[in-house]
Amino acid sequence: MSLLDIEDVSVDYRIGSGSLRAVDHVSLRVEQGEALGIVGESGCGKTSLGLAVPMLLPANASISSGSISLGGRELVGMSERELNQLRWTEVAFVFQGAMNALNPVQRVDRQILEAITAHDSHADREVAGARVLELLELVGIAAARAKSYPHEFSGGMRQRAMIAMALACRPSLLIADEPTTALDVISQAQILALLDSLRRSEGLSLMMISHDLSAIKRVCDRIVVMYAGVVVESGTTEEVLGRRGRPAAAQHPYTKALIAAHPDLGGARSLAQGLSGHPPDLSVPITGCRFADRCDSAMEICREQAPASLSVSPGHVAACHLARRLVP
Amino acid sequence: MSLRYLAKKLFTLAVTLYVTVSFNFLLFHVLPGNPVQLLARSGHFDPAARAQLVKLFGLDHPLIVQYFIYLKDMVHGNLGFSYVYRQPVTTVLGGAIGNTVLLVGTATLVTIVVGIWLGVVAASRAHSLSDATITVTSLGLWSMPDFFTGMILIFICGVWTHILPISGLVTPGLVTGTWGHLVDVARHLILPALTLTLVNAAEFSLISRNTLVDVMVEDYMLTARAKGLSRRRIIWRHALRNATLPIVTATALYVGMILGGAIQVETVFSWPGMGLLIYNSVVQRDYPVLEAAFLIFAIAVIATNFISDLLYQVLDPRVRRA
Repeated sequence: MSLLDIEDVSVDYRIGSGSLRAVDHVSLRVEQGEALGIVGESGCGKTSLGLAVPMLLPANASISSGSISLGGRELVGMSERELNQLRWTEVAFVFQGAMNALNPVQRVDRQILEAITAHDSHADREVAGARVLELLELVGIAAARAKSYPHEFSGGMRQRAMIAMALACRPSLLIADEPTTALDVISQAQILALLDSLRRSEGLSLMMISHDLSAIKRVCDRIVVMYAGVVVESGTTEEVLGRRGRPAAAQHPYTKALIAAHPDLGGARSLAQGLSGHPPDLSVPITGCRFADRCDSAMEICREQAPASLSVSPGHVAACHLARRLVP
Repeated sequence: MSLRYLAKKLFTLAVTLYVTVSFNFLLFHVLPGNPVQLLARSGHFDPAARAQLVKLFGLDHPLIVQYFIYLKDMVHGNLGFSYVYRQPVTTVLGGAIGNTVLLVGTATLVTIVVGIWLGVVAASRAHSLSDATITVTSLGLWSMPDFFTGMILIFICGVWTHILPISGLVTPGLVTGTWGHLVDVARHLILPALTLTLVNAAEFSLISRNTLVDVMVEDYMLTARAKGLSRRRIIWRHALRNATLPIVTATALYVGMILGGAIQVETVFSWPGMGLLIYNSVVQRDYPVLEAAFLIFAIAVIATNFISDLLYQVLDPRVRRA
């Protein structure tokens, strides 16, 4: 059984008089101990999908179909009280680096302590306090800095403190939404190395949302590519993006375009290729393939019929009319 | 909070006080009207007596000398002599200040508690029916002048139902013990305090509601929810704590407003405080009393702003190193 099983989930936002489907019948799984990367450009539904797991969607959004089960427990339709017990103990969140995710008027150690005591009201204060320092040390923040306020930290330190807080209740799943966005490259590398080592040492499963392919490649075992609210391709990172000399075997033109837009430092020197245009307006119904308008290889059928998902090789699925089974 | 900051603020406070005191002196010395004539309460009187009065009040000195005498007297706690009451101004004010502190203090306390609580209720159910009810009622109450609200309350509670006294501090001629006296004063306090509270709590609830609604969409509020904290803890510990700064600002501004309101309310309810004294002194042109009353109101407002500046330092770690 998978740790996280997202089955046929749709997320709708009420906007004005109409509605917008940000996530459209998405299914994916995260296995125990696995790191799954979700990639796609802004507005493709990655963050909505991430927030949907612990039911943290904004008030104007709702899950209109599907089921989300975490460790065998169904989360859709669960009471707020039950969800609160599950949040942070089973599934913790690391928000975007650019976000103001730490309370500006509370000391960092207090914020981490609060996560512990909120879920264990009988927690011994001294034991919990020691655990806070231990967590901070784990992410490379000295105990002497524990009593700082968030504004006294650098962006990278804030994000590391956020990760320490996320680990406070020993969750089985960590969702990291753009954890390295808005950080300098050194901090980015530190955060990614930290997530990678923590997931091994703490036995975490990771769902990392990013538009940064190299970050996904660095940390994740599998990748899910989303475009305009649907999954267009998924497979092992190694196969889809290529790794250690193996060329990328991405099948979907959108995945290929994302790879082409990303300079490969190790590979042959070439200019990164941009992808022109914008994702489609999701508030109007779309017939055919959602990517057809921006696709160089679009055919007549692409505009008439949405492509079905095709298993191109074991564990590698692409939703494109052009996708063909890979010959091993 | 650094000592340096405190010293800086104290210096500003001293300068502000000095300017206020000086302006107050100037204001009452450029006003039209001859003080001696006002004091004599009569157009025709003996020139010898007039000269004696001029000398007694130091009006024979040039303005600048009078100014320094005024400053010297103030330092010695001498605020002049009331034309009307024929008593030192400090004696006249002494009785009134306590009554105003009782009225304004009660109203302020209730205003802050009720206003913030209503704001929290409205903000935590933003855009619901209870939010709309609180917001619309608050807007209505806030738009009403104090004296108008006061008169409506007088009509309902005094004229119509006779459940509460509508005028004064105590029931005239009532002879009781200490406890009975306290109850009597408390009963007289209810309506004027309620009037001040209605208007100001309405303003407070709107300010705290709007601040809270802004805070609720901050990123750290999502973190608080993700941590699985209870709704109550999220609102009181995370949202309200971050909303305190604008609320403290509102409180500082509010003191100026409520002192203005006290003049109206004390007049409407004949509450023997500073407000009523100011009203009567304007009518009777009792300049020395007015001068002192203005000064006390100004000092109260300056002091509140000073305190709120210091509170900022305590409440917001981000401004602490200013």
